[in-house]
Amino acid sequence: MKINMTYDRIIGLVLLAFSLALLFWIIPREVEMVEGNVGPGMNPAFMPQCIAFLLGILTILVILTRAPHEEETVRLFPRRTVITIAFFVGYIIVTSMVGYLPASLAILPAYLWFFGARKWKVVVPLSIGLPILLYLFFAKVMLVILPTGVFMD
Amino acid sequence: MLEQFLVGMQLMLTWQNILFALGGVTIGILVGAIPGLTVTMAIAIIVPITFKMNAIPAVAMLLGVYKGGMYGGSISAILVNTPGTPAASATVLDGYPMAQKGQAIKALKISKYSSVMADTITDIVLIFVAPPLAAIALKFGPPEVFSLVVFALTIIAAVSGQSLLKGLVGATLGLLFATVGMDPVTGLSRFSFGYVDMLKGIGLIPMLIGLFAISEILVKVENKIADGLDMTVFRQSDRPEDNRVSWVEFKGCLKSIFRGAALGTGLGAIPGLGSTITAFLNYGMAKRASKHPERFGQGELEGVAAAEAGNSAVVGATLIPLLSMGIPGDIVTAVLLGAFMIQGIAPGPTMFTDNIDIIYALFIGLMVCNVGNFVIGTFSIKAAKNVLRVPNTILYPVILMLCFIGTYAVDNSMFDVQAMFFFGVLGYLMRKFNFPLAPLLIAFVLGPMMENALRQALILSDGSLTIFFTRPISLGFLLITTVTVIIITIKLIRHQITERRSKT
Repeated sequence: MKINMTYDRIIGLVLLAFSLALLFWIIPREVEMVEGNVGPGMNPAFMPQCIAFLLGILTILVILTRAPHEEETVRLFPRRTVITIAFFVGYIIVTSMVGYLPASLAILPAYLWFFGARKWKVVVPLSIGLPILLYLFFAKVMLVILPTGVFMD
Repeated sequence: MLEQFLVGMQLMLTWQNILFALGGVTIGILVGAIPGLTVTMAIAIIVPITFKMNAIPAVAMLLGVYKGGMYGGSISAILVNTPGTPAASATVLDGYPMAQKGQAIKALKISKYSSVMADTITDIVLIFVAPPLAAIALKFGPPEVFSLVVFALTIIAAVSGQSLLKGLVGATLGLLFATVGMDPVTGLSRFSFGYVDMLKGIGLIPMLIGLFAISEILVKVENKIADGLDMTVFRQSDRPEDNRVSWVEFKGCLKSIFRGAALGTGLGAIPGLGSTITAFLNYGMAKRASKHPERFGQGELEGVAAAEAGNSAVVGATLIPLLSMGIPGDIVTAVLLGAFMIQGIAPGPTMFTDNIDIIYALFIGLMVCNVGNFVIGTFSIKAAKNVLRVPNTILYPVILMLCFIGTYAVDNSMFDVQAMFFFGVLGYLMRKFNFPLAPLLIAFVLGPMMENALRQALILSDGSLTIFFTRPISLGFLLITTVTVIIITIKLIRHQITERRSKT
């Protein structure tokens, strides 16, 4: 995806819309309020409201201070970045399903292959050794309860 | 003070603590030497490991990584013309030309001597300056704390990137993320969106690792990663004078080292002014003061000494606002603040009354790390040459694995891993649109302190904002902030006018 316009203006508009949504919709819905009329010190919404207001002012300034005739091109989410993100999302999902160790033994070789590692003498021992080493260190030494997956629960 | 020193020595100087400190230095040097990995990343990954440790070895290890990383950045700067840390960017200017002339070992040695010496000087300054500064900070009430945080965030936003406005936007977003969870005063829920996990708020580690490590990888993978770094093999000279630093040569660099220490102490104590700025400033001043400024950039020994003294001197100084006021001076001290709090220590003026033994143990730990830097630095040159051969195609997947498990281990929470991923994508977008990341992280760390101070001040004043302007220290900080913003804005407008005139 390429953005071929004055991207500061676009970002400014997006953030301005976000700050207005925050002030008039998100904060009233998602911040629990204290009963009765309380001062700003006791109001949980006071700080978020100040932040939303400040964000709105700043983003208006970001929009206004950008010269309208200047253009930049920003390349966003090219294929390789999207695949990396997909890998990571896949890692989270597979770990939740089958547990940390099986997921890592499956995902790491795929990661290495995607990143371009082709030396099998390094890739194979690393793909097996690193997940096991990390599992042993965190589960047995650090006593972290690693995910076991829904099939094991 | 002597008695406190002795208690500190007793606490710190056990073989386990020394081992952890030296281990931290080793990890820091290795990570700092690898271009693409940052000290912040190393600390972020080490922090979960320190959870199970006691406070003193945990802090010693983290400080070791910090100090080791600052020196380690110079190794790849000198050997492969690529700074291992941003702070080592100035070292490249003369370090790499020296390596090309066959003087790589000489450059590495002067880098080590300058780093350790300047670092030690600022550590000593820290020991004497921090306690009286903490005593002054104890007099700060909520309005003063609020104004100080506003000042610190503004400075950080101003120096972190090319645009003050974008830095302030980042800081504002950081403050917003800090409000997620339970309201600190009333305990009511904010922005939980119905998820129980959100009630505990966003963790520092998921945000840190996502913003800095994951986003870095997302940016780097855009182009196909070459298998192996494009290393230029440096020539090692057979001449003894190319492989050592003589006493005369070292004496010639002393002025730059002391100047770097003074600059680092002064600038490092101001939140936001980090090691990169100090390194370049000291390099520039050394060049101006030199009898042969034309030699700078061609492989001048004093150039390397000045750059390294500048960047390493900041390490002790950034701990001054952290320990005395609880204000982190840069990203790394922001993480240290989080690590301290996880250990149940609240950095700030009360630390000098409630945890004075830990403070002095920390001071001793800084000295141990300096010695570690000196000793391990000697062996690190050979090791670094091998570590630099690890291809990025292997490195990045390994880092992703470490980030995943390191973040999960913080709280046994897959939610934290998901949050890390969210911040990874956010950090990627911020990098693409030139929004600096540091203000967001530091504002996130300072947000709760700022909110508490603001609300307490308003409770004290029955909702009146005049309390921030009627108390002199608070007014002083707000005035300095306003003047700074005005100066930066005027410079920006002048720059834009000049640019438009040159285009027409």
